[in-house]
Amino acid sequence: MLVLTRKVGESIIIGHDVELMVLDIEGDHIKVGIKAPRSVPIYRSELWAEIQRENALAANRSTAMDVALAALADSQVPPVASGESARPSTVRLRK
Amino acid sequence: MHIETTRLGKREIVEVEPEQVLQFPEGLVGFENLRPFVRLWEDSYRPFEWLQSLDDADICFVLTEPGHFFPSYNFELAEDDVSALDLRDAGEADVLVILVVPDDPQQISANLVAPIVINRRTRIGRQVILQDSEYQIRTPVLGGSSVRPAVQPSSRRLQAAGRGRGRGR
Repeated sequence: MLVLTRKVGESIIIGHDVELMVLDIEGDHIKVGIKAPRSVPIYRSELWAEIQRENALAANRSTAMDVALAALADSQVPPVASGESARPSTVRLRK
Repeated sequence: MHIETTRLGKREIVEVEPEQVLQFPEGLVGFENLRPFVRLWEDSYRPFEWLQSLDDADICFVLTEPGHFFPSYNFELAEDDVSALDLRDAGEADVLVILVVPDDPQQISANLVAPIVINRRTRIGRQVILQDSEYQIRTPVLGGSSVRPAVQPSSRRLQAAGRGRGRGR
């Protein structure tokens, strides 16, 4: 791991178009500003780790899963509409 | 083509058409090396379906369209996701959420933070991450309501999803 020391207001350039700036330090909290093209995804690493954990759980199916699913499928679910009309409201595109 | 699935915990062979295969260029979070998947469903398990890896029969996710359980669920897809999915408009996108299914159906939860988006036209899929959304990674599917005792499914017809507009009927 590359380790660099920075002061408040100083920054680091990663690649050609990502800039990381230390904006403020207060105790053990460091405020970091990131300048990057909108096409570069930026996540807090703990969120990534949480999703990774949840995906692993989801992939690890319990043996009684078919029973659990069938119970739900049977009792809880309103009649399925075609789904076509529900779709556009779920997701909007940012362009 | 025939594929192997473990969607219900035991191995079975299912026939799918090559054009039903979806590509996840970046895999799923934690499963980055798994790219081709296929959607499977069976009438008696609706509105649930499965996302089966073609590379690893043991990797299979249970999914549902979020609207069934979370009617107001909606989000804006970030620019990088739109371009990765090659989406021209929102109508091309199928949105599904991954479920964690423990033995007790009361405990089934949906990950509303990292839904699966599939472009039906290009057959590209992606797990998108809704950072800073108000949604939860572990959202109970049942809002505390009770479920009838478990019933074994009767119909055993399994379908692969994804030709034309998707739904088999």
